[in-house]
Amino acid sequence: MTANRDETQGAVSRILQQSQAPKSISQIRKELAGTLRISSKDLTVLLEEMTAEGEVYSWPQKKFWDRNPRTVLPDLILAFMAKSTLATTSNIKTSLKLPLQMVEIALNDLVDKGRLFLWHPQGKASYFCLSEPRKTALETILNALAAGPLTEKELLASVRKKLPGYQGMDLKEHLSYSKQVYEYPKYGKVKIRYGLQPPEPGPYLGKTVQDITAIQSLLAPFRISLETIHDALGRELGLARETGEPSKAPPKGEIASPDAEPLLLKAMTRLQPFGQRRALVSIRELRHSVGLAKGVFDRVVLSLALQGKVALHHHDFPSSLSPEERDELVRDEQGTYYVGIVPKESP
Amino acid sequence: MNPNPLAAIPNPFRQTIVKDAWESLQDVPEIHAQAFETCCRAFENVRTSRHCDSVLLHGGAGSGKTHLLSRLQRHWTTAAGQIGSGEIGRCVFLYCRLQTSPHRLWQHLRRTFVEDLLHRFPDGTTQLQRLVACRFAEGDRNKRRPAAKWLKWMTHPANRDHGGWKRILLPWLEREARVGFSLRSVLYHLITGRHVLEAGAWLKGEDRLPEEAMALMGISGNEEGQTEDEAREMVLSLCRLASPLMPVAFCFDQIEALQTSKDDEESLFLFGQMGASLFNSSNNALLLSCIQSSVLDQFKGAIREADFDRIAQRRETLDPLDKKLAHLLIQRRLEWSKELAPLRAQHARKPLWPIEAADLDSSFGSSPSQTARKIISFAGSLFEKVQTGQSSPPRDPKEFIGKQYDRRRDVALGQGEAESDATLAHGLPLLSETLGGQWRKERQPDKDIDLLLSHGHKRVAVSLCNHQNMRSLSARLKRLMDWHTRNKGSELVLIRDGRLPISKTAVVTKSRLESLVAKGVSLCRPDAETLAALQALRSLISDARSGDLHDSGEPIGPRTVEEWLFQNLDSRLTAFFGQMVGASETPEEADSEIMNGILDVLKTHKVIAIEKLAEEIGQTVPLIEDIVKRHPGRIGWLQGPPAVLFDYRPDEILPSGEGEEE
Repeated sequence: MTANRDETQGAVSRILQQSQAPKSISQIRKELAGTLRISSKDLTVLLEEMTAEGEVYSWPQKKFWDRNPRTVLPDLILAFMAKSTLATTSNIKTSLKLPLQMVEIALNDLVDKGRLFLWHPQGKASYFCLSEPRKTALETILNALAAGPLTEKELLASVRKKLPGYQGMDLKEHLSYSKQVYEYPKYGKVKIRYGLQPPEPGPYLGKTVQDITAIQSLLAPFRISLETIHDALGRELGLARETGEPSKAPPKGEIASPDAEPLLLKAMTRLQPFGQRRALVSIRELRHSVGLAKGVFDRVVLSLALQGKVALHHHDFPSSLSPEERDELVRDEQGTYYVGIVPKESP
Repeated sequence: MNPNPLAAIPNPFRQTIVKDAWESLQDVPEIHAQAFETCCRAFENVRTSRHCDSVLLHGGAGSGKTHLLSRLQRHWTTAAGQIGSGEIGRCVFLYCRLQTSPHRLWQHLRRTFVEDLLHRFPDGTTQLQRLVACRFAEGDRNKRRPAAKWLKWMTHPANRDHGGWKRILLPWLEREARVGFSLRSVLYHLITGRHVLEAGAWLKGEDRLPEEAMALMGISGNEEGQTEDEAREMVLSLCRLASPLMPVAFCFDQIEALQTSKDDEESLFLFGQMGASLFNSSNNALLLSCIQSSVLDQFKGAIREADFDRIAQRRETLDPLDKKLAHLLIQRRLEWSKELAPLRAQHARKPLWPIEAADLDSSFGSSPSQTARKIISFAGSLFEKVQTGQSSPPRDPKEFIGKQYDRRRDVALGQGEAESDATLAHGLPLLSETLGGQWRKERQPDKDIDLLLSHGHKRVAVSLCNHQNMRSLSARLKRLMDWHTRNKGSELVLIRDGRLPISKTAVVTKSRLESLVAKGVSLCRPDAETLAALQALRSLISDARSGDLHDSGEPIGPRTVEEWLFQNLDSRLTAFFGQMVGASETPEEADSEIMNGILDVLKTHKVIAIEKLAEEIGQTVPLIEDIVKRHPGRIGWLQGPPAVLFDYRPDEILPSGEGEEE
């Protein structure tokens, strides 16, 4: 055997190198070409020697491979997860046919390294997943809401398809991180709903419409039309115009500064994490979130700073930005570009 | 004529940069008081909740981020912060400036952790000794001996050989910190004050310890050399020495300095991973991370949301100062000057004397606020004007950068070989970027490849082999032999500090090295001057990127620094880079005709647009581009548009007088 040992060893190395999975002694033996084939006993001895030399690695269930289980296992797990997206430790262990302890160590390491995430549904076994549960939930929520507002029950049902065991309290927590979802208030029989746009007043006016219809029936003998009631209602609500022309809401972006200031301050709070009033808000993000015309936005931001309501943070090297990037910032008359805004530190 | 009494008084506004959170400075607690409170709340939260907490601090360049960290350091580590409490410190304070390669973050953190653990306070005790004393006092259920007493007992020379050490300390380290044998032994030496240099070097991950030193400490070496995983394990083990009652405050400063270019997001991502890993793997860490406001969007976009949440459990902002705070800052600085005190006493009604409040306010222009550094610099120039009657002359940023470069290079010349690896790992990507960025940095394919550069089809894999321990070097060379066999498509370059010898007895190492060279692997041995130039380059760019390079309060940006470096780059660095990427051959050896043509034109024109040059020598623009990019040390290149080439020859080969033109 000594004379052929090197050849056999080379052949075994090649078999294991080309293999896509660990192989048992009998599998390796079968693949050895006729002249190189040795007894199972000799092959076992040879493999043990190769293992001691670090040329091959011993795998559970008396298998061997040229790859280190500790190095390869994370990739095997990630490959499995790419197919199943969500799995328990037990699912992974069964699929890889490896000891639980070994799988658990690799899973913990992957979680530590941020390559896998844990989803802990209340009262159920924990799942591992490839993307962060909160992110998955938020993406699902945003996709579901893209079609229109939904109730909590409807939202939960859509998220549960991706995250089993998803509960109302998870939804509340995850929505607290989202800056894009509005919670529509409950009013009378109108339930709490969620949407990507501010609520339409329509659904809240059901009772009012009934009342107005009743009033119109009541006043019909006096030839009071619905238009006349509408005008009167406008006057009562302080919306009446002297000219009698229909009122026009100012186009978006043309809001005057006094109206825009509270709008901006409110948007700023919305962009900050809950309870963190000292978190710097990106000017770019704020601009996108309020949708004011550039001139109005810039004026209001600078005015708020002059009034001492906000502090502005400047960019030290605006020349390193492209003209488009600079355009998204706010520039004062001295040519300073501001990148961040925050409510002023209280004395 | 009476001489001006202020003329001889040192300008109290000269210091505008806090280099380090360990610096003890005069402080104005009213400034950034809210941020300070938030950090203190987070700190208390770690102590009470026994969970990690974090604060992300935003601020512009010169807003006082490092100053705030210095205030926190004093508050948490000095007895003055806890008058009457009997405590000798409330946390392990770490200040980590991130001027390092993003792929060696953990190694850098390990080194900083150890250096700060061994930081000595004025009473001669180290943070490590204080930590152990506090932990012993914590464990003393009867509270008979407070931490201060334990510390006194521990540091008393008579108790150094006390038998109780081995009975108490070693089991405690094993039980509480769950650390391995070698680390336990090394900590034992450090705490009892034995073999401090050797033990400190081992703990930092340095591999230069001779066998005798290892034997003295009763431990064995690590042949693998230091890896990121190993460094991470060490950091987490050291974290376990602390407890939630004595947390570890990690202060990360200059996160932007990790970036090799403005668009580099990978380094921010890696920082996020490290921060989240620290957060997840311990229950006694407070993470304070400082980042410039202008990087806010990029930082949020570059790191994973989950990592961001861990690093930024709380967010705080260091606002620029309004006029009221600016006056207070200047007043305090004036009050701290003992030399000024008698003169100021004569102007009791003018708190800012000898500076006029209106003059100071003019630094604000129409803006309601200004950064602390700008205000101090402006006040400095006003003070100088009062002293001399003249305004400061206008400054030339290029001259300033030149002086800074020279100063930093001179300092770096005094650095030992132990620093070379970090200098090369961080400096080489920056050098590549400075030389025009034609060589693209790619993802590291292997732990033994420190940098992979590509240009067209050519790939150059760089491995840093600055090991002082020959066994570690030999092991790396063996792995590199395997790597080279598997990756024929890449050229492999080994870099080893020219000052580091290969021991005569290291037969295997030598033979492996020779074998690699025989297979076409290049070996570069940069000398001390080249490494000092690289160190100066990386420190200048890092400071500029994090807004800490400024001339009279005006920050100098990385682009200005890179442009200056490009035009004034040390010829050693260009030659070194050329050698590294295999472009150091003479023009006669490759592309000789075209190269000679280009050099001929540049001799006459000095600076010329690439299109015009192509026309003159009758070649195509892409061909010239290709040749020029392959010879970065020979011809200067300014990316346009329009792209411009210029005669770039090291000073020493220029005829006298020619080199002074610029």
